Amino acid sequence: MKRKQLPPRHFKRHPRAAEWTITDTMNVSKPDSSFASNTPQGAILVNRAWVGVVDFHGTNVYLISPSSLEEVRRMKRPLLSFTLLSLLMSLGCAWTTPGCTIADSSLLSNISYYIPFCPLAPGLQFFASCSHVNDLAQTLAVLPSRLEALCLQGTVQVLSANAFGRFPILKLLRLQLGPIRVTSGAFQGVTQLQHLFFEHPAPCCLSLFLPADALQPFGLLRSLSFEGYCLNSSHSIQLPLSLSHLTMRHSCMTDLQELKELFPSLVPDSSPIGSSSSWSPFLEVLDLSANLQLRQVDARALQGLQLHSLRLESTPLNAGELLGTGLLHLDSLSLVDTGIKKLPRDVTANFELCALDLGRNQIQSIEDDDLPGCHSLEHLNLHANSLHALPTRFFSALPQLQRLNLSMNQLGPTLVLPAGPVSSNLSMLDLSLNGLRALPARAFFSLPQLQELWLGGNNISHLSSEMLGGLRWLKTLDLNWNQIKVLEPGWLASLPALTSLTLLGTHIENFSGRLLQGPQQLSHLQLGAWEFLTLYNPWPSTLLSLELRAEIVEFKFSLREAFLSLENLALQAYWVLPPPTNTTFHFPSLRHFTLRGCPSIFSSHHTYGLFPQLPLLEHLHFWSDPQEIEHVQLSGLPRLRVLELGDVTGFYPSNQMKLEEILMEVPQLEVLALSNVNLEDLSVSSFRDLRFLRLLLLNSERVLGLNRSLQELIPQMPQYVYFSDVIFKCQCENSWVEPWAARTPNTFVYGLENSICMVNGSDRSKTPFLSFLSAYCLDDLEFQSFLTSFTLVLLLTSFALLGGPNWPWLHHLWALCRAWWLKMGGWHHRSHYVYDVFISYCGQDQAWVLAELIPALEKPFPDGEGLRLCLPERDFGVGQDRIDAMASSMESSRATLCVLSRHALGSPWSNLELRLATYHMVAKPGTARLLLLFLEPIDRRQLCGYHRLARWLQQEDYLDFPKRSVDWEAFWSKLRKRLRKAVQEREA
Amino acid sequence: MEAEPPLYPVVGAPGPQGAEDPLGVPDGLEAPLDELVGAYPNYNEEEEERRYYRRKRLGVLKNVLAASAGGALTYGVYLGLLQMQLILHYDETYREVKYGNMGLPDIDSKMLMGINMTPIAALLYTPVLIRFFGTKWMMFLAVGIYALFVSTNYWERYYTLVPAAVTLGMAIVPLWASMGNYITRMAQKYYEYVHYKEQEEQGPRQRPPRGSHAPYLLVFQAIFYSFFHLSFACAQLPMIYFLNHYLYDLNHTLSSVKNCGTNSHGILSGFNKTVLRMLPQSRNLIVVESVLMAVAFLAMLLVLGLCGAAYRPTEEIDLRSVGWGNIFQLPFKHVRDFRLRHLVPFFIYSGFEVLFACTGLALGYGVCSMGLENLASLLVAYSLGASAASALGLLGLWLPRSVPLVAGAGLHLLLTLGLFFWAPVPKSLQHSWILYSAVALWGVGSALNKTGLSSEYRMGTG
Repeated sequence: MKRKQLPPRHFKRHPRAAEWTITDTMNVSKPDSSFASNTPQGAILVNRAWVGVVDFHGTNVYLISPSSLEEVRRMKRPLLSFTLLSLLMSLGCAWTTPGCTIADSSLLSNISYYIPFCPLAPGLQFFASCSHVNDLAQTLAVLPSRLEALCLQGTVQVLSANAFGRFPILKLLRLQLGPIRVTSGAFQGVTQLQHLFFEHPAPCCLSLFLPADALQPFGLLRSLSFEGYCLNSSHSIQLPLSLSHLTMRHSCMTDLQELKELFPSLVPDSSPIGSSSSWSPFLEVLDLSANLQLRQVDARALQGLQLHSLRLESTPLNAGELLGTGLLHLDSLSLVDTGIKKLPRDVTANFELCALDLGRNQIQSIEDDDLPGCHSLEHLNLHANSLHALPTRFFSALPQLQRLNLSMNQLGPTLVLPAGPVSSNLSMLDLSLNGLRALPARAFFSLPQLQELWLGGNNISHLSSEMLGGLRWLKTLDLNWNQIKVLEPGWLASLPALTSLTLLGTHIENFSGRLLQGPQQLSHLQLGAWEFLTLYNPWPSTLLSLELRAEIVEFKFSLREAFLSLENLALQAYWVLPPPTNTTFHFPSLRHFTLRGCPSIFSSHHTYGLFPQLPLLEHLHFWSDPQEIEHVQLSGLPRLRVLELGDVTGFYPSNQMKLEEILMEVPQLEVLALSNVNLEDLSVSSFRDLRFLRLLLLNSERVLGLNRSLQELIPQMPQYVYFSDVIFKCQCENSWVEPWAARTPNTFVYGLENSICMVNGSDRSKTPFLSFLSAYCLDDLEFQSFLTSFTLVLLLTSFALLGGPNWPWLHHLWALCRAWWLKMGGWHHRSHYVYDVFISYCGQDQAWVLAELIPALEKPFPDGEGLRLCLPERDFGVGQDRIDAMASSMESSRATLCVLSRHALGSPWSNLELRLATYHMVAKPGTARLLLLFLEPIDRRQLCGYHRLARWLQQEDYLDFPKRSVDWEAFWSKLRKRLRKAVQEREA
Repeated sequence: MEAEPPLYPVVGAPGPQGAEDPLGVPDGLEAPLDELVGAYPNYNEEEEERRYYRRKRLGVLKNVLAASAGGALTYGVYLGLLQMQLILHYDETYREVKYGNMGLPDIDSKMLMGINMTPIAALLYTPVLIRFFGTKWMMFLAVGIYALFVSTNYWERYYTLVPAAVTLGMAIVPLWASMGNYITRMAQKYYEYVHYKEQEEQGPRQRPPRGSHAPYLLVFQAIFYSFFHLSFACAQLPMIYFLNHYLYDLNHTLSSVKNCGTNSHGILSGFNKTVLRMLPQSRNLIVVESVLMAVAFLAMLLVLGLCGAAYRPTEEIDLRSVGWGNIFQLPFKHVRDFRLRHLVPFFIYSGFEVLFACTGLALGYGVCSMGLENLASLLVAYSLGASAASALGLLGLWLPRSVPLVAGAGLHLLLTLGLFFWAPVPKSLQHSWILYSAVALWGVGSALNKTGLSSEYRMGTG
């Protein structure tokens, strides 16, 4: 089972997977821009790889400081009683905002992978980075106020006053906001700021206006950087006295004199009247790199300045011209990539430089003549030049030299180092990538003080104790990427002080502990072979850190006592063969454990036994294939804080993994990073015992479901959740995620905005997750319940109130409503009325009624009116009681027309009908209409019995029948009109 | 004991004249007409009347019980819901996750203001409403408004909660005024039904002597207040059965509480902003609210179905007989009575002591020392103490009526003094028995105060 390389897809996708490759080449390919970073990298690499302290994606390298975990939890807020609670409560603020990423680098180092343009200063942990910022105030309002570092990228025209007042402990501010105008109070309240960067990624130049007093609030500002900006419009900017680093890269500066105009306080006032006595030098580092137009140097441009370091990388400035600038003091000068062909002897001599960086220049040889002025140099960097040899007087001419970087030169194939005085102080020598094939015996004999020796990337195939003779104080020896096949026993015999040895990328296949004999305190060891690596007894028990890389690693000795003091162990192998006799591992002091590849030694039945043996383990990084991960069950790891599980292969889908089955008993877990482990469903049980979990990182998951029950756990969910390249399941179970991510206070969720969801494994529709939720998962059960219950209560109340008590007003209301309703509906209540007009007459008038009246009224439209008439003689039923019939007919008629004549007044029936009609009218005023038709003029006295009628009848209710037949037509129309009106009134 | 003879003939039962003639009346055509239509020969009018009034008295008792139970359920549901919602809304995480930028604290403060401030205006319209709707229907309507408030808590928005709270505030005073009036009226009726003979002798329209129904009123009020104080215990049921499962324990909630009781500044300073260990799912909340809604509905049905009318339709007395013109003066009518004027401080005190029991005592002492998870049991202790001690109001039967009132105030004074010198240790359960007994004793004082005060008031006005 061999695999030549890990799948490339994975290298791209995850920073941790890429880490190994990068680290391998790092210390040889990364140009050292300063000497300071040339620290014992091997030793730190061990730490980096396990502890995870390196930001490989930015340019900065830093160490994690100890995390303060309880800081967040202690927030004191005043509280009032429940009844008044809401008056005092301040609104919490959720951190998750579109475009912003928040992270705590104390939790997991490579969180910064998710924050591409925000390299940090060391020591800063809590940081935020926002991209595409357009409305600065709106963006800043939602960020937590205890940020230590803030990076902003976008387009903001004006930096208004008190823009950053919300962040009192801000220490680093990096602004990539395009052309910008800073108002004078913009940095008010940010008194703790130490680093301020104005950056523009493309080279020169955007305009930046900085008012003279903009930097006043900073009492602690240490570094100020302008990159890609042109500050031509600003002048006389007051620099805070605490400033030690000033950077002007890629600016449009053409003359050093401009610097003086821009920052008058930078150089002491040249005029004698000025208060030069109070001026004290404060600036230490001035970085003028990459100013491609900076050619002109006026005399006295830097008059009186006392610098520690000056950087002029890639600047077409002649180093010799510095002599005329009036610069008083300079310790370190960087002239990287300036096309120099000779050592700048004059400058070095004039300033008595301590450090000189000449990397990436074209120096082919150093002559003895160049050396005399350089006796003060302590650090010299000649990285990536074309040196073939060093002059013979090199070391004797540079007696102070401590660190010498000669990497990427052409000093091979056989190293010839000039002999120097035995008192040479050189402690670091970097000879990597020089094409060396062999080291002569006692090659370093002239350098007895050497502590670090870097020989990586050469073609050295053989090493012996003679070659390394005389290095009594050597602590670090780097032999990575050489062609070493075999090492002799005792080859380290001449290195008694060696603590760190790196042998990665060699061809050593059999490595016995005997080879390590000699050094008393060897604690860090890195061993790597291409295919096989077999380890033999006796193994030194002093090792603190061990890294092994090969295709197959085999242990040929008992593992019980060999690693008693080992704290860091990294194993990268596809196959690990334990000794045949004893398979028990024993790592009592192991704290950091990294496993990569498929170490089948830790297959299921072994892992049970392995992890309980690691009582002090704090960090576990386990990258393996899915079958291995499936069987991992972590228990008995009481101090495990960081757990990283990942599928190295990333090729084939494995079985669904249950998180709760893996995390059996890890009570102190703070960081959980899972990559490509094929989680199907996260549910409550996954997080049951993880009370201290603060960071959850899920990378490359497909069809992830977040169970609805997790909603209950929101208060206990980790503070930082990163979904990176996660495809969710398109289901409404997940709908709680959106409010959680967007609004939970003090919680940051990364990567929901751009994630997609899938219905199942074969779905390729790429539905955006959040839009799926908002489109399909509307839960309005609450509203429905509200409506239902509200309606029920209202109905019950109103029905009970209407039906229960006998409200008088209710009847009025009811009648009104009913009438209104009927009117609205246009229905007329016909059933009550059978007739329109009841005609009352006596027998003598019957002939007239039948001949004239009936045809005029009853004839259908248009000749007559079409009224339904009730005539007693015609319409009363046979055998019916006449009085009853009269009363009921009158009731069911809309109006009553009494035909009055002298005969009628004499007729008892007519009289009765008239009385009945009068009674109706009096009893129900307004409801019964009565009309009187006088056939002939009647003396009023004969009507005296009906004088009360006058009170009830109106003028138009009396109708006199005209004598002349000419007027009859008019009369009929008048009568019809009157009757129609009466009928209509009744209907209304 | 010999069984009473039945009032009416029973089919198949031996009649008074023997088994041969079951009805005791000659039947058939030959029977005299007046035997058929006349009164039953063995008709005992006295007995009939006695049974009739006994039924009436039982009806009155049923009315009192139903009204008390309805009131207790309503108030319990309302308090329980309010307490649960305020605790939930207090939790920062819950608030932010569920309501986001809706401005819930603002809504809550407006809601509480609506509930607490609107009743001040109630003096003006309460008599009008009771005059208009009548005592029973006012009760029913107010209980319905409480139910509406419960219903709006399903869907918490500004435009549901605040109007509902204002309406509820408007209904509070009419509810309890009509409830008190109802209880008093029931006592009067009970007196009438007990002393029906005297009334007949005095004449039907004669009013009973003033204060003659006092013993019955005391008993009824003891019943009413027993139920009423039980509502505080009912209000804790949502917490006990639902919310307590979601709360953090005292080590979390009280983590930054330094001082309790008399040493503390403010009621509960330093209380954690997050109190929920888990957030309740909205479905579970809907279930709880549905249960509360059902109970509120039940209370409505109880008042509607089981509470008889307070007055007979023809009985146009008291409030209903007051003209519309005078109706606005009614609230101030009693101020003319100097005895009642003396009760005014007691009314104010009576309101504030419950407030103190629920906030200062329960929160500043109880929760501060024992954690939020014990709030429910503390209030249950208060409730049970008060409910049981409501029976002490019956002391007024034998002692002067002012004795319970003064005893309650004295007890509260002693407790206040005791609490003033006591600062329980935060995050400790060792003083729990002191707290439970203090709270229960405060409940006893509350009960004495309430029963004493209302009997004084009802005697004074009734």
